[in-house]
Amino acid sequence: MRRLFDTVLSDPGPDTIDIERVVSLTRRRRRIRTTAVLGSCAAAVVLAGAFAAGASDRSPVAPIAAATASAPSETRTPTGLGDASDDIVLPNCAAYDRHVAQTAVDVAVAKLGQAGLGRKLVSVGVGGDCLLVVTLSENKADQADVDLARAVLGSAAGRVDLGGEARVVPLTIPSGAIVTRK
Amino acid sequence: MNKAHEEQFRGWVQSQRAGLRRTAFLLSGDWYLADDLVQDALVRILDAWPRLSGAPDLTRYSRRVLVNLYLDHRRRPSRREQPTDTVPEGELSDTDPTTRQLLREALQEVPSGQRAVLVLRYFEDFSVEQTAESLRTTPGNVKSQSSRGLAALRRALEDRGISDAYNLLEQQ
Repeated sequence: MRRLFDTVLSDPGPDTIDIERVVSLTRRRRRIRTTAVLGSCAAAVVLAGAFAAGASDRSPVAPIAAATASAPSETRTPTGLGDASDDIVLPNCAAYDRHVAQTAVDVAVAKLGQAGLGRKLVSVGVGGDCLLVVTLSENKADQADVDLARAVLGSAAGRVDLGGEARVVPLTIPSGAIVTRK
Repeated sequence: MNKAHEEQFRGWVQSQRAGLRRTAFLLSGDWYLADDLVQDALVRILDAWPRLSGAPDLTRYSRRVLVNLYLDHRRRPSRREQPTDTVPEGELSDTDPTTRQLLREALQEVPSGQRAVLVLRYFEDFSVEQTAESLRTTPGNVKSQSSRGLAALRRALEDRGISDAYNLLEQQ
């Protein structure tokens, strides 16, 4: 058997092996592998950072499509007052994200406070069906306060509930509240 | 990998180069393909060099890499050998078939897996167990492949009228 192999190998061809090419190919493989590993790590860090930032930015506003006007969301800002309510529709609500909804609540609270209604507020929040829910104290607020709240908050389509009686009222959300779109 | 590793590797290649080429040629039957296979094997070996250098069975490892590269190459449909009636220009030094050429053809007629077993067992002097480990198979399979490979080689030699085929193979 050895004789057969030796006979077959007795006329070797020219040696075309290029060691420098072997070394450069190996370096390239290592570089590509290192780059891939570093790239994966960087991507993981970026994703983790984005996730953490998203988690920290997330406001406690309820999902916009999760609740109804009759069951206002936890975004309401409690004032510790009575139980009358004034529900106001946020136009094109689906286009707004949670951050915008929370801004609308904050601006509404500020404007109602400036109008002297702060002590009469029970809560302000955004319901799941895109209602800006303003609840006034039934003991402290009267129809004039409801009208004032409507005037303060604008004149877009909306709904007012006071003492269980629902009425549709014109309303516009203050420009600072919902100017941005998602 | 540092410069010292590269220098070590270059020194090792110098001592193994001829042996690797011979093994690759016995497997492939083509010196150019043999050089390609050796070069690919060297890339893999250099890649793993930091954990391989100084290993006592580095020679055996290099043959294992080579054989597996060859078998991988054979399995790729795009690279599978195409039989042809005409010999490539420059392949033979003369027009008359020599004994060497007939032996080479006969060896190439043996199926590649069996040929790999024959080369490792009877050219590289691997034991049955070492051959089995290199080919990731069992010793029993190595023995049967070896037996079949020898039978195929004997037939191929006889078909070519090589009268001392029996003697060639009996000297194993």
